[in-house]
Amino acid sequence: MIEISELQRLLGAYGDTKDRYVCVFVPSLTRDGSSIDHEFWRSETVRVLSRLFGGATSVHAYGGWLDAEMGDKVKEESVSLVVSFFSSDELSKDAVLELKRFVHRMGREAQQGEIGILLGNRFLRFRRFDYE
Amino acid sequence: MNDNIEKEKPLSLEEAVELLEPDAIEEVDTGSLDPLGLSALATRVARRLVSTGGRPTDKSWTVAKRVPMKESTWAKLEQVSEQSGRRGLRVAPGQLAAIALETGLERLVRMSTQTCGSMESWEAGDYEFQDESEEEAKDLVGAITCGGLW
Repeated sequence: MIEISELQRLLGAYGDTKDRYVCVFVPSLTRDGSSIDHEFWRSETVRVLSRLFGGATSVHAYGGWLDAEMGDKVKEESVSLVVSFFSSDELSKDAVLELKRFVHRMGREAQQGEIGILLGNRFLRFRRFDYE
Repeated sequence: MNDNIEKEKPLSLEEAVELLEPDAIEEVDTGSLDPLGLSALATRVARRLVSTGGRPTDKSWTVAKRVPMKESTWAKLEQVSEQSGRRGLRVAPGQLAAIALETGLERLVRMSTQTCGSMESWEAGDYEFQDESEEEAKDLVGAITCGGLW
């Protein structure tokens, strides 16, 4: 079987192989069901991830989440999934703290009950947004 | 420019997760990350299949009971489970059975509500029962389909 590095060379791709990813779920409603500026937060997420890891792509989707603190109510909404691939060398402490700062900011300013991000094969859920 | 400045060592994914300090962590089998795979992933996460270390489960499944069934029924459940696994969705045959049971019951309740009193599609005779419990079972089916239980 052909090695990834050889495939990369044959294809003429440059730079480190980006074999890891982070995916941020961008909401469109506040916890109370009011609309937020979804396009702004989607673009902001794309910008932050692009600055950190060199690029990001968004996909529109529809989903819901169980608000256990509000009587197990399922809250449905349009979401965007913003994905950014990175190499192992790009996951610096500064990058992670910048991502953390952004997640907390979006949770706080967009009045979220929960923000979810996927890092590798782990789905991380944030509910308290006190990191600045 | 100072070339002697030591470059910061990159973090492992585990170290990154620790630094992010999320309120909850769930292990997921992400499958493909092409656009379709991402949409499926969103739906999956949205449906709140919560992992507790093994396969994802529904938090509302708090009761475990032994339910008898035909071997062929279990084989079909295993087949669907395997097909789901190939599409990146790990669901055990037993979990599929629970989903089928809940979905079937909902439909049964709807049907009994709509058709009670003039039922033609659901008759007790549609089922096969063991000898000693036949009458009791027929009564039960009658009660279910005529709205006696719901």
